[in-house]
Amino acid sequence: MSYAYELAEEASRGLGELESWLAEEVLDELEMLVSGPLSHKQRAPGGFVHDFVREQSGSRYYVFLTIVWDHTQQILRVSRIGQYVHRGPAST
Amino acid sequence: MVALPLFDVVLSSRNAPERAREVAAQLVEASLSELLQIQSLEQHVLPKDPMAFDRPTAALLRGLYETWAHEAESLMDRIATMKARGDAVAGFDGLVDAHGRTRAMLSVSLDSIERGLKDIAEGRTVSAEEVRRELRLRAG
Repeated sequence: MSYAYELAEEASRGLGELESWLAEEVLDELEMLVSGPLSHKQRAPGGFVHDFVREQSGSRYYVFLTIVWDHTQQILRVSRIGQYVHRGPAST
Repeated sequence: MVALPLFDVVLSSRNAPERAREVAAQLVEASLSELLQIQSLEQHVLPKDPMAFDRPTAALLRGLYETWAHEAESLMDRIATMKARGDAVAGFDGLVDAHGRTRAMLSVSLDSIERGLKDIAEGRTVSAEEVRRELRLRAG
């Protein structure tokens, strides 16, 4: 069964600091997460780690989420969102 | 990373590009291995409950990641000079990605982590529908 997801207000503020297209990507990633197998194992302070990378206009955008699963209510909660942008080509 | 001065010596010898590539690849591997060790350590020292926040431990871990990221940047800068000469270094893309992920993680302060957990514990959350709606409004 699919889970729902919601953002802590702090995470929502973090989402608001992202460019709009990247914020949409975060929500798409969360939709994918809650409809797939629940397989997070790597921990970080504030929850489990989920990160992903997107490329846009020659830059690489790294997005870092910490999430907390509530299996009783079947909700994934995002506690925080961070990002880092690597400008320019990364390949050697 | 203690071997960086050694790398500088190798890099300064423009007549040994193959040796410079080999040393660079070894340093990239060592850097990635060090990151894995920090991550492994983190898994063992964090509280079992994901909602629990042990600030002193989180601060120490953050310091390890900060040091790693700073040293990785020093290494990446040196390898960039090799790239400018047309030399490729094995594993470099993996280091760039590991560095990007680590910097993304470090972009959130300890205070922010604590606030996020407190929001969840006290029910201050925003539903998926509300977040989508806000994003659409923002996009105009």
